[in-house]
Amino acid sequence: MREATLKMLIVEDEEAHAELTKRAIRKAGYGGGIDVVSDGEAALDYLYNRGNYQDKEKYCIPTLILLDIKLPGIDGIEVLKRIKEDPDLKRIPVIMLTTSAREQDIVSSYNHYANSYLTKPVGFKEFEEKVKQVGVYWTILNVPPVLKEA
Amino acid sequence: MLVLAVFLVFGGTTVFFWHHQNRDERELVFRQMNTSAEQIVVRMEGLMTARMTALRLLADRWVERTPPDFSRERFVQFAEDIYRHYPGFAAINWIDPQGVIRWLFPEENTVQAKGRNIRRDPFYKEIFQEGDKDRPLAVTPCAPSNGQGFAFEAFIPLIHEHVLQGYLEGAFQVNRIVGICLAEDVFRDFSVRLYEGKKLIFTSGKQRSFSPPLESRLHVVGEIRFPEKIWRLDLEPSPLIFSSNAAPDVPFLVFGLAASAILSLLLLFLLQRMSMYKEARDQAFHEIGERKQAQKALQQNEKELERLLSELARNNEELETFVYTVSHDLKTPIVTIEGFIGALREDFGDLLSGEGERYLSYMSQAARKMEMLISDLLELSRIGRLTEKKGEFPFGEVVQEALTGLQALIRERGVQVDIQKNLPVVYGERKRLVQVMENLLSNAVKYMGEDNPSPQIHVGIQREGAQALFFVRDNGIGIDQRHFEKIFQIFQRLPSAKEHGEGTGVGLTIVKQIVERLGGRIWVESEPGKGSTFFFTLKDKEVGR
Repeated sequence: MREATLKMLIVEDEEAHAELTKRAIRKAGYGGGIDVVSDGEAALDYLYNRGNYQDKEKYCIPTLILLDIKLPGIDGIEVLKRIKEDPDLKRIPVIMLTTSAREQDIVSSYNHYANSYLTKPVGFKEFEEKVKQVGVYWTILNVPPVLKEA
Repeated sequence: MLVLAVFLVFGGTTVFFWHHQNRDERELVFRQMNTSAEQIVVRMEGLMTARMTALRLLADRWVERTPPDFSRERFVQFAEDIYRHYPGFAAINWIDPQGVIRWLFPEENTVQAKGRNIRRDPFYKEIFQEGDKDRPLAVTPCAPSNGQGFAFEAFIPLIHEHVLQGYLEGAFQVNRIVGICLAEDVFRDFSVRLYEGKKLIFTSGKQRSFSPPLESRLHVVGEIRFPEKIWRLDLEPSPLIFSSNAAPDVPFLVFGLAASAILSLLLLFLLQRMSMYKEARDQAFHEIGERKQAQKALQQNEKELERLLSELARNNEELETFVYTVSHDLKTPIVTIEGFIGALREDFGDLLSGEGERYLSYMSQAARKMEMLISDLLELSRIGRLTEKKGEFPFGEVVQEALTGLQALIRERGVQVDIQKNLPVVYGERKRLVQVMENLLSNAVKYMGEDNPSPQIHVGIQREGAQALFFVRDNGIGIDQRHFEKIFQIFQRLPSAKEHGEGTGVGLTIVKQIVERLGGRIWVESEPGKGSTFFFTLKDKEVGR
């Protein structure tokens, strides 16, 4: 299956949330790789194989990015902007996953070509259900883009 | 003051010209009169002197012949001669030394005087006194004569060789003498009067019924002297040639003075206008000055306002950022707590006792409560920054939309909801109005009371004058009147409410804020145990029909 090539990058400064997200995705039946970075700088390093993420084999270009907005240092919107401006990265589906329902955040996310915008539900069940659906849609139903043109 | 001066100048000029004109005319007339008077004097003096001389010559010739011839024929011859050559005599008579009038010429004129002894007449007494024969000439004063005007007589004694032979009498009528001496045009141009002493002996024209004071009268006086008589001539211009003597050129004066008055009034009017304009101009300058100052102040105020507004906007932005940051930061741990409670239940549920599960529920409930509080606070902070566009939509749709989210709760509690038909169209922000109805309806459901046998909610509208009152009525637990105000205040939850389901104490505050922002008001009518009715209005013009 395609699972071997699947790689999901979660950009989330709250370790517990990342843990919950990972748990929900796994529970939804996702078998691909999941990497977590905790700030914007690290996310960009990961994508460009810089700093701690120079191993191109290990840190290959992800097939899906779950991106929080409120991040220390470079925030989620800035990371999104950099991804979507980069011709090599712009095809990666980016899903904004945040506690903020602020209109400004929603508008500026879509202005920078976010592929989806999700708010984190407070309830455990709702959270799990939402992440599950996202996981199923984006990693199983959705045909991922060809990241590197041959 | 100036106007008065101008009037005086114009009026004075008018009077001056008027006076000057009059004076010129007076001067002219005066000169003419003078000339005429001189002529009259010369002619009358000449005439009378000639007549007197003729009379004397007659007397001399009468007595000069030797031997004397005092015959009547000779008298008549002489008298006729003089009478013909010297017109002016009324009569020529011979009076005997005793004073009896004997011979008369012309006889027919004076026949009644024949035989009269004038010496006995008191009128002649003064003339015929002792030694009168020594007087070469005696003249009577003028006296009225049979309706022929005034007359006088001159007597010359006839003395032959020192013996009085009688008297030669020449009678004159003043009218006749004047008639001979004065041309007709003199009478036309002037009014002629002759005085002997104070006696008026001749007057031409009508006697004036009213004589102006002498000093203002234009007249000349001449003296006519001939033997034994002095007459005074008084000439006055006739109204024909000098009307202004009696009536000066009054129209000219009136016109001049009226014109002066009108000019002065015009000037006064002009001056008043000018002063009015000046006042208005000063006022305008003053106002412009004031306006400029006001404008300056206004500009300063505007700048200050702009500064404050930008500060406010900045503060608002900061506040918004703060609120979102806080809500994000507050929500994050709740998500974690809720998430791991769930994970704990799933992964280690088997290891937990019933009590452990109850503790987890408490934690979960607390986390949920916290989340609701944060959401409500966030909602409340958003009301001040309404971004939705206002529009018109049927109120029925608003109610239906609000009910959609509450269906589960309504079913669960078995509440019957009645919605009045034909609700009007309202104007406002749809989302906010839905929120109002959501909160009111969910409150109605929440506080229905556990043991309510037939829970009911009625949504409708009633008219109070021109005002439409929207209402949400329930038959729930009701509210004590003491708390009518309190329930709309933030975080205020009634003791009874705490027993009936969950709530944050923000819902009615949100409702009140939305209604008031839409220009309406909200209030409650209720009684404990008998249900509550929440009324609210919307701005009149924003309620469609």
